[in-house]
Amino acid sequence: MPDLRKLFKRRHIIGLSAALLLIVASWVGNVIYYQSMQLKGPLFIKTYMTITQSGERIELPYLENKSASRKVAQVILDELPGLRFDISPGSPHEFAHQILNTASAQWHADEGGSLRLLQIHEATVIYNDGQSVRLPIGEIEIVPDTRETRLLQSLTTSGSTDGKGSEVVNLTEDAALEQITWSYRDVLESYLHIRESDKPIDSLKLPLTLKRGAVLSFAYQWDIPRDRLIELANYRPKLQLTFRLKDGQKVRESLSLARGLYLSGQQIRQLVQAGGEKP
Amino acid sequence: MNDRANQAFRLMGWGMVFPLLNLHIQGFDLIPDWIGYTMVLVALNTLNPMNRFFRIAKWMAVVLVSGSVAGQAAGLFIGFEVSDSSYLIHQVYSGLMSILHAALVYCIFNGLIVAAWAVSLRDLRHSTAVRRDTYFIIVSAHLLLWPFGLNLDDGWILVVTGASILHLVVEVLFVRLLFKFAKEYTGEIYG
Repeated sequence: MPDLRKLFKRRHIIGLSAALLLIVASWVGNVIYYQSMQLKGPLFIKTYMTITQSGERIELPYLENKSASRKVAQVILDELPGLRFDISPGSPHEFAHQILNTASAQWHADEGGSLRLLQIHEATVIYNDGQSVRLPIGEIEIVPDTRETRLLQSLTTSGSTDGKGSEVVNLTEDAALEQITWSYRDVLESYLHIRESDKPIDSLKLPLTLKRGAVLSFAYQWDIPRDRLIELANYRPKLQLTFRLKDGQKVRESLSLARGLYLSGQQIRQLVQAGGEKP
Repeated sequence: MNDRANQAFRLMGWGMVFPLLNLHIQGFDLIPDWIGYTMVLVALNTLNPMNRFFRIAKWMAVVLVSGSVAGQAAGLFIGFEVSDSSYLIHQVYSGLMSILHAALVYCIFNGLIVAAWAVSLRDLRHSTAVRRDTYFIIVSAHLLLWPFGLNLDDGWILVVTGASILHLVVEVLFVRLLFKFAKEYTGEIYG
């Protein structure tokens, strides 16, 4: 019978204990971190969206825990009960602990009074187990354009992932451009630069008298520094143009200032740890 | 030639196949681990007079039998009642069982080395020591990396999957070693 103590030397014991310690530490650390990265329920990425035309899509991105047993089955806006939301019509984006889904619906003017102004801040979420909860979504503002027949005719529209975009339109009748503004300007002022024919829109001398067929060429550039919390919100503002027609009628029409929502894993972690309250 | 020892090694070999086969199958367990661990326990009960390591291993096997019975019962009774934390609980349970399993195997490795030493089976003792050290390194690495799978993006999970495949390979090598002992071991139980 060999001496067991010789076989099972001290360095063996040290090696074994070190390995066991590392393994236990790895498990404990990872489990604690995993639990700190779990949401209590679905979390809507704050969306600030201006809807101006019938047929536009309302898209509400939200985060849900990957391991959630209770999932979002339906989203209802109490102010627009006729709206049917599809849950994640596109492919959801997966992060380490969460999935980024989108609830998406097409808004039609007749679903809530064509000319009614509306601001929606909360959505009712119905889970797959039938329970429901009201959650903040940011703000959906419905400001329908004045007329169904458009004064502005779109010539080209472009948008790219680097935050650049353009809207080129021409007028279908004579009109004077009296006012240019854009939604969420108070927040976005320093992050969104808009130019018309290469001049900042604020330098335009208004009112600007325009003939039928005249071209307005807007170019915009989103410029949100990576470290700003505003990056974590889904801004969908509109450029709103107010015209006066020959007959004195005031017409407001709007153009989109598109911005894609590209969230990194790190930004998702920021959102989760803040419980979604930051932006 | 001691038939009882050889039979015990063979029984242990077959028993160790059970936890191997469901190592990566989720959900309902068709090849329950507790049957395998019970076979190992019976084998260790026969072998335990041989050395201290088999005696420690026997008690580890008792823990593993109860742990896997509890796991199977939990799977049967509350398995269908999915909650948010069931994924985490499942992961932690599997992790804990794997750590205990690795400790049991390590202990049996040492028991085998002592057994081979006692009857001067030099080659068998050396190959057992080599397999024990390989097993120790690979399984430690896998058990260390595994919980990171909870928190990492899909790209990194490939690393954990790679480690788990290597883990499977060394488990198979261990089972083969048990069958080798069943065939080649020449010692007495009361040696």
